[in-house]
Amino acid sequence: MKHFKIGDETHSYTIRHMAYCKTCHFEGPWHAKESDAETDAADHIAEPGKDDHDVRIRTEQTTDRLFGI
Amino acid sequence: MKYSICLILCYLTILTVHGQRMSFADSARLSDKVFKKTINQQFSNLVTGQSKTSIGNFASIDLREAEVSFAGSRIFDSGRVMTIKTSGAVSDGLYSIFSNSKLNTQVSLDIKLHFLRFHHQILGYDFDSLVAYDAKYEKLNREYQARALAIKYRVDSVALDKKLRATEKTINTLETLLAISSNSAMVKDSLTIELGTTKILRDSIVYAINTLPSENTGNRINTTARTLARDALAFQAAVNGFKFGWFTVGYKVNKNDFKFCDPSLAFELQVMDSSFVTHEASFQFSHYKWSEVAYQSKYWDIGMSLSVSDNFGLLKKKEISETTNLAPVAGVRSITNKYNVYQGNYKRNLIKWKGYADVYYFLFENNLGALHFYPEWVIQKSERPLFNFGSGFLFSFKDAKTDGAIVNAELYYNFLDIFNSTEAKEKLFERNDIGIRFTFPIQFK
Repeated sequence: MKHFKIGDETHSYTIRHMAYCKTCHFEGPWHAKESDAETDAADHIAEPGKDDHDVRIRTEQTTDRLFGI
Repeated sequence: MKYSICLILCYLTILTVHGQRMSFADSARLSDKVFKKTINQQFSNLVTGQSKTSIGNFASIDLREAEVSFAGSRIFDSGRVMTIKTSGAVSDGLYSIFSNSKLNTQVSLDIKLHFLRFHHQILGYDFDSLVAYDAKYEKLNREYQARALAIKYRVDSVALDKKLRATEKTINTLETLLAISSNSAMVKDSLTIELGTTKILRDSIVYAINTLPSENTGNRINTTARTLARDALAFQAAVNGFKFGWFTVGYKVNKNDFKFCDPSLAFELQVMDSSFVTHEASFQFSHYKWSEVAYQSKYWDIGMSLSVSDNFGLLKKKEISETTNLAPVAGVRSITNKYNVYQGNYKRNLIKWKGYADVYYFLFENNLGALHFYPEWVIQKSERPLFNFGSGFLFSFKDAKTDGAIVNAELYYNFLDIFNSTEAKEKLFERNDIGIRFTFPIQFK
């Protein structure tokens, strides 16, 4: 978890990544590291008959306020 | 002690190695500024239905009904949005809110202030878009730095001086060649044209040297150009999901004019003009999770309002026609005047508290439909508490080009007075309100 500021308030952020397939709507598990999601994407494409699937990495960035409400 | 120091050193070494193993992709993220800007823009689009780059206000006038309406919004960088909606009657192009210190007829004013909650905001995007965005952003930075260096070391000035010297050398050469008398007339003509063109080029270089901005001006122009280029680098298109909540504080005032009819009174007093000004203050928390993936978008809100109002909604509408004979003999010629009146047990200055909630669960690709549930609890002075429960199915008719909702039509079924606190004769399924409405609390995607 890393910290940053918006205005005068300190926030933290978390980031997570997931492989998902636009062709067959496959969704892999969430990972803290993008490289792990890339591995899932590569594994999905390596499956028989899925070499032409459009696999992307979906990223979610979340803020949490450390101080205040 | 030595053991502890060794342990700390080992731990720090592991941390360092672990840090070095993090690739660029693993540490990449949207900068705080871009994250905040993107969230703020998504929020303002939702609340106002307008993008930040547009004016965000609109007004309309209905000449036939002599009514004017205005909806405006003010978007603040801090994530606050103020919206104003007002409507009223106009005469001679004037929209009077107060006339003789009294609120004008048909005037309504609705002011809302929306505060974005910073806690737990989520932005979803394609990682590839982030990489592409970062690359463009870095390119901009490099170009800015290169330009700043060029300004500092007067690269433009030096290059122009060099070009001026070369041009003057060419002019001297051409003049020398022209001075040779043995050249034919055709050659001299060509040399004259070339000399003229080169002189024009020299003049333009001299002009460029004279109008070169100073170092300070050059830096200012460079910084402005970078700011404009950064602003043009929008990340909005890459967003494929978000989640955030916001608070809304609102105040609404509305004046209602109508004719009240009491048949029990004397003929002259049966129909009287009546009016009432309703004041309402409200507080609400809303939460929206949007995803481009089907069946993952949800919206909910919970709020309460306190108002001083009348029970106009419970009165029954009737049409009255009055006939005035133009001649002493009845039935020969007459004028008929038709108008609406309201009948019932009319009560004024009712203090009403209302607690309410809405839940929308979106369905299908592009969120084309949604299930809607909305319980409501009303407590009114001298009345027993009412609990209503509504449900509906929302259809969204989208713009084919922008995917923005054009019209949201909802088929609703509202169960009124679930616990029959008014002791009505009708059964639960008969105490209802069924219909279609065309509103939605936000401009959903």
